[in-house]
Amino acid sequence: MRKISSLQFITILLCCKLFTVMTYIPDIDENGVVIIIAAVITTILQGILMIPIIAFYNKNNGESIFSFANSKNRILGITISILFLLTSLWALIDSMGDLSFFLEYCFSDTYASWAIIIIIAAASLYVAHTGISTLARTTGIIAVVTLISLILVLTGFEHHIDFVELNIAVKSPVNDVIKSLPKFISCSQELVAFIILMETLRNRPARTVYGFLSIKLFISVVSILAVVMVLGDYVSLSKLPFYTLSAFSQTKIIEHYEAFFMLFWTLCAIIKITLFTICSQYCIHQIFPKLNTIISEGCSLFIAAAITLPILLKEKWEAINFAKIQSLAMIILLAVIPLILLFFKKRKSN
Amino acid sequence: MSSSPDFKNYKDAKISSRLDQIILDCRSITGNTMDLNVMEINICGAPCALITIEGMVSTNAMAELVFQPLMGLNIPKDENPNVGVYQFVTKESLLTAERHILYTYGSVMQDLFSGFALIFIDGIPKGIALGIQGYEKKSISEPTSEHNLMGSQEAFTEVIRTNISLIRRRMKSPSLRFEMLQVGELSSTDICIVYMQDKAPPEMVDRIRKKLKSIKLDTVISSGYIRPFIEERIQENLFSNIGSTERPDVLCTKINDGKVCILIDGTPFSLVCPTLFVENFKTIDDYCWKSYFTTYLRWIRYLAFFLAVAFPGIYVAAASYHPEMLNLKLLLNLSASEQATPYPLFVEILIIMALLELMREASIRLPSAVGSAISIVGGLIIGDAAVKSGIISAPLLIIVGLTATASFIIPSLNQQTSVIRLAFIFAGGAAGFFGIAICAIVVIANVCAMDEFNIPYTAPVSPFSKRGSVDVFTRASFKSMEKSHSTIEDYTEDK
Repeated sequence: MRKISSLQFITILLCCKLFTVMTYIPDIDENGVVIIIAAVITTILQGILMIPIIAFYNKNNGESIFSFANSKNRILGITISILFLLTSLWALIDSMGDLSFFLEYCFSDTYASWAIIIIIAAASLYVAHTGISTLARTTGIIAVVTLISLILVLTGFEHHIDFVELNIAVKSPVNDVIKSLPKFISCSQELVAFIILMETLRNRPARTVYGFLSIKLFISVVSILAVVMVLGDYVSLSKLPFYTLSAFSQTKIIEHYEAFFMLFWTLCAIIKITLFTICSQYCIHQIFPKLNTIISEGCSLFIAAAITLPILLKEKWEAINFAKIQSLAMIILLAVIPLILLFFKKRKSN
Repeated sequence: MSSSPDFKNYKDAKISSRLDQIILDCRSITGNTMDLNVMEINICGAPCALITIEGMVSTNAMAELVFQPLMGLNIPKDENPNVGVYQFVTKESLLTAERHILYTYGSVMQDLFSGFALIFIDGIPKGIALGIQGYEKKSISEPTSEHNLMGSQEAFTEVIRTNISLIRRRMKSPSLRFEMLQVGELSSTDICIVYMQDKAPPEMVDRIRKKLKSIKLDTVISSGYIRPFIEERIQENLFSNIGSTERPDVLCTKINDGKVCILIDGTPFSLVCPTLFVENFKTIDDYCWKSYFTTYLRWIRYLAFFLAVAFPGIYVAAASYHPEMLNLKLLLNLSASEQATPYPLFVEILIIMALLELMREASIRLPSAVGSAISIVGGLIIGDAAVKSGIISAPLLIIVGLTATASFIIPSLNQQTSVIRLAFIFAGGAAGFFGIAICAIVVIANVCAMDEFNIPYTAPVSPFSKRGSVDVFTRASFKSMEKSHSTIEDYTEDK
């Protein structure tokens, strides 16, 4: 597998995060200040959770947790691979479902969910098949273009900004922040992808992790501020706040930016789906080393599509909410497993 | 007497020691072709033969450099005249600048058809090839596809040796290497690998050499014949990692960047391995103008590429699926003009794109005098009539005109822009901006997947290289180039 640089890895994770940030679904009683505080605390927690894996990487000279676990015990290796595979598949389902659901919701006359799923799966399969280094290069270009267009969108609603909408006065801030935390921690799928593909990293992981977390925090805070200050209470009524926000944005050349938003949102979605297709393929490879790459990538996408489509067609997508289970799974995958493996003796080099 | 070799089995056959047999063999191999000239002469008592191909040697040079010295030759009576003549031609004289000793009929035919004059002496089982080529050739002219204002006005010619001299004249470094090969089972086309020993990665040179030697084609007539053999994933890629140039000055800058170039006899276009995507937007004039102006022009070219590829698709997507994003006045104008046309916008743009491609192809194939008439017929008559008759709307004509003009700015990417533009139109027409996004990511991924010779096609932008990208987003100053000149090896990615 080809190696990629720290900057490239950060860019991939950032694109995935951008999709998550842009798909942010607010809870009815959430408050701007609470969300920002929760985002900051989550980032700090994620930084702490990542300490064991960084320590593991440094101790074992860059060896992945999969090959290390496999060398200690094959069953342990397979179990860890299955856990990560399931998380990757869930991320695939989540991203495909979100993209399809919101596209159909925003542009119901134009798109059908089954067609979106098929097209997205085909495009992601193509990009995933070209490999992680191609994904990294592709993301480098897309991330820059997306960030520029986001800035363009943000500059278009300066007249709508209202600081009062932040609602600084909160009744029980501690309780509200604690209540928001599971949801924020459950959105740490990018870090799971980082652990799976850590072997492809050319540099030491600490720089990548903390670089990503810092930029992610900045983008999250700016996005939340923009959404809250422009939309105000309307956030609670909007299913896709960023879409509504871009509809508010207006310049002398472009009247509304929602189509623009959709373009870059779709690009980020494909990056995320591709990343988790590669992650799934990597995990499947740990379980079945002889399986062809394209088959395992195709299977991952097929399974994700087969699970997503019936839920979408039965219009049950919004009912799915596993934030608490997901946040627990994140803690196990990000911290507990690397911590356990950290106590195993280092493998003697050949 | 052994039977003479024929055109199928001559390559490894040894030259006979008997002159009459050599002449017979040459006639037999060539089927006594009418352009084979055989002159049997006696020099100081030694029976000799001079064999040439009509029109391939210079008769003046032959008279002055070969006939005159040989006719005036004196060999002592105690010496064997056959050996004497051989010694004179091979060791005691400087008849011509280029001289080969031949042992097999394979090398005899190679040199004979390359315009050498061959001398055979009775009793000597070898031939002597003298370089007095004098075939008709085109003189050095201006480049036809890479025009410039302030750079050199010389282009490569069809003759490989002239091209070599054009490069050597500009690059007087001992590290400049020329490696000549013959490719093509029947055509035996001369191909020359050009590189700088201290700059080109040795593995790249080795790989290209091996690839060229492995070509088993019958004929190699142009650079397109060997491109697929060097580029491994040519079928999968929309773009090409192998560039081409007809300018010796451009070639010199490429080899100075550590690239390997290939000259092919019979074509003025040389290949450049590998080439990067951003190089399509650079011209030799960029380095003659002020840096700020070049930077401005480069961004104009990037914009032109974007317009040429995606603009019609985005227009179809925006007008058909997302009209709310357009300015209200513009939207009203578009709506009014579209109401007068019978077809949907998607069909309209396909019709006009087909017209554009038809006219472009016609103007290329027709003689230049008639070519300009095509642009008048196409642009003025058909375009105007189509709008007036209501088949297409006027704004669409502007879009297509802008797209066509933009595509002319980057002629090296003409093949790609034509096809990708169509893909974007289909994507935009079928699924709006969602389709555009899908098409964009597939195209970008395809471009980013290209890394022939382990060098990403999208370098130095992605993966980002601070040093290299200075000359992409702006124009690097000569002072910075003086401090450190980056080569292609700087962009190599680790496996």
